[in-house]
Amino acid sequence: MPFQCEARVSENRPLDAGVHLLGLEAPEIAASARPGQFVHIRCSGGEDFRDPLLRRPISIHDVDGAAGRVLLMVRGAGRGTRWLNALAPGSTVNLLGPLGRGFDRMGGSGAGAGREDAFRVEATRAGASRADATGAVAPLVFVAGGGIGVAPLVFLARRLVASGSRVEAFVGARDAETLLGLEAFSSLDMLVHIATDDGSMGYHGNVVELMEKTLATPGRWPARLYACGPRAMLGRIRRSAALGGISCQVSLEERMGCGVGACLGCACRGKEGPLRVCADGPVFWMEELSW
Amino acid sequence: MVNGAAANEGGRAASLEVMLAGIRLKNPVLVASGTFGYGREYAGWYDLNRLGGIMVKGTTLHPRQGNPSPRLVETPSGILNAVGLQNPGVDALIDGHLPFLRRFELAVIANIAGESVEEYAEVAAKLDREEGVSALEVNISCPNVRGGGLAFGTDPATAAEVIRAVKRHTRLPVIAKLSPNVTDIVAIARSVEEAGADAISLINTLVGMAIDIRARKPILGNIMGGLSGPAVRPVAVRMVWQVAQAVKVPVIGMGGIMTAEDALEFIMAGATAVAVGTANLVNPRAALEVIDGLGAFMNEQGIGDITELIGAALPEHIGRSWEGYDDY
Ligand SMILES: Cc1cc2nc3c(=O)[nH]c(=O)nc-3n(C[C@H](O)[C@H](O)[C@H](O)COP(=O)(O)OP(=O)(O)OC[C@H]3O[C@@H](n4cnc5c(N)ncnc54)[C@H](O)[C@@H]3O)c2cc1C
Ligand SMILES: Cc1cc2nc3c(=O)[nH]c(=O)nc-3n(C[C@H](O)[C@H](O)[C@H](O)COP(=O)(O)O)c2cc1C
Ligand code: FES
Repeated sequence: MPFQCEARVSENRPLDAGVHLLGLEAPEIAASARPGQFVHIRCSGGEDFRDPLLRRPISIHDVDGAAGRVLLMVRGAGRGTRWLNALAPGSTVNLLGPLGRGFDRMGGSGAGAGREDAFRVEATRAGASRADATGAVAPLVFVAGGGIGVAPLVFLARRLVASGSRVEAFVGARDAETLLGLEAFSSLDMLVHIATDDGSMGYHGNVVELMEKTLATPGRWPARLYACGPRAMLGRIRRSAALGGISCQVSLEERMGCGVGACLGCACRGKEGPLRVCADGPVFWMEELSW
Repeated sequence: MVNGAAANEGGRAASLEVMLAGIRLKNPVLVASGTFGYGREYAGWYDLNRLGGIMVKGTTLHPRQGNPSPRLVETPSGILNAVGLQNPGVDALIDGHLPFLRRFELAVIANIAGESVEEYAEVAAKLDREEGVSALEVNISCPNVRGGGLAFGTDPATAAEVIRAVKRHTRLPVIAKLSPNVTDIVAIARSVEEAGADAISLINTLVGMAIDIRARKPILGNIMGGLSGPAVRPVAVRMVWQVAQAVKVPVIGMGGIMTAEDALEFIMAGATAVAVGTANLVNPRAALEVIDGLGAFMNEQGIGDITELIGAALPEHIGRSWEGYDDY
């Protein structure tokens, strides 16, 4: 059940390269959001909804349930996102959310429940699990993000760690300046692999390449892979996931109108016909998509 | 406040009820085809029973996959869309969506489209047998494949041919939805009225285009798209005003309605009902706010019945004819 609310900006912290971390007070959204879902934000002030007309979709980067806050990581890409990044603490924005189908986490309920068993089998077969002190299975999971695509993965990683998964992050960017999410991932006490195109930090090259190298190491076979980033990166992820038989979910971007599934403006190509990124996604199983 | 009525100062309720081609609408506010799906997506945001009616997504005989993405581009105070009539086909509308819509007390207007006159007729015939459909809205703005890709709605004779064919296959009221992409909207309107249309709705989107200057190519997957939203409103108000004078059947006005004030422009231009389209994408509660705003305006102006406002700005009321004013 999505909400519409006027959220107060509680913080606006500039990171490097035109990216800001925005804290928004939206208790209903914070309480019900699942990783991978997004908020649809009106990027104009006052009573006027006319210009810019459309809302902008932004992933939920993290939530602070206790404080009723939603955290967004916004890259100033154009008019709307730059307007957002200029908001002073104390001002308000109109939000719809949480919207969309989020990541299907292991151990989750609903749609994921049926697949959980399959995953356990798969994980054990792949040697990707290790038993903890109580004998329960602690699955290994990879999250991979390129550029601003890291945004939804922090909330996901937090929930995965909390539910007992071993999570490793693969973070890629153009250069050291534009790397995102390192602080957040590190605070979650997980292994973070870094790749930059110019080699200014971490592996010199593509983040998927780096992940493929890790896959070649014995015992480092993830039971699940979650990815978000540019299309080219996701295409490459798809190939390595398919090759390794790793179950994989990706979060897609498309230009949106309504954000709730009504206008069919955000279609992407599914195996069985068009899918709505806003309502059928933005997170999809790799197999659902046609590339 | 109760459905379709706003409390007046003297305790009298301002009546928002209108009659449209024999259909009683509890208020004149509909939601425009293609911007509200089949109602499901918005049922969680408010009680759909508050709406005067819903015009469902354009429906064709067979399922259609629609156009490649991107399908939407934002333009100044508007959007260009090239969804391409993606829909699951008329059988899926009947089996999958009408049962849901029957649960509500509102006019359900099925928007139909086709690539040939026969296809329009066949879709109309299938829907004629269905309970819970209040009227058919015939979208004559889609390309006539046999006619060389020209829209049915840009030629008075072909527009009339489609309406006549649909009328022959249904007992339901038939609403002709006109394209604004014509030189003489009045000629088309007269032609579909003569062909038996029970009402006329306008406007559909205006054909437009946007170019990504860095990629040096059109942004939309379909290259061209339809412009809607506040940017088109003045064009739509003008066309409603012209058509309302030229025909006897009621007119449904749409194009860029975001607020009750916008809706009132159309009503005063002669529209018996209005439809909220693009605004739904921006504000899920837009149609509801328009309904409430109409009631508030009537209270403020001391008007008891919305029908008093219909056509208030037409020549007979403003004492000026349009003839002689066509040199802008
Ligand atoms: C599900 C989803 C989650 C997203 N999450 C984030 C996030 O967490 N952080 C972040 O910084 N960005 C995110 N984006 C991208 C963000 O929505 C766009 O950068 C933003 O809409 C651009 O708007 P603008 O007004 O700044 O740019 P403009 O170029 O002025 O935008 C013009 C129009 O194009 C659309 N548009 C432009 N680029 C994109 C794009 N990449 N994706 C979708 N629509 C676009 C806009 O929505 C707008 O309608 C996400 C996109 C989607 C679909
Ligand atoms: C995304 C979108 C999809 C639409 N689909 C249809 C359709 O299927 N059939 C139709 O007759 N009109 C369709 N329209 C046109 C609207 O019903 C309406 O006539 C037009 O958008 C003008 O109103 P507005 O400015 O309030 O949106 C569509 C418009 C939009 C924006
Ligand atoms: S944005 Fe309207 S259906 Fe996805």
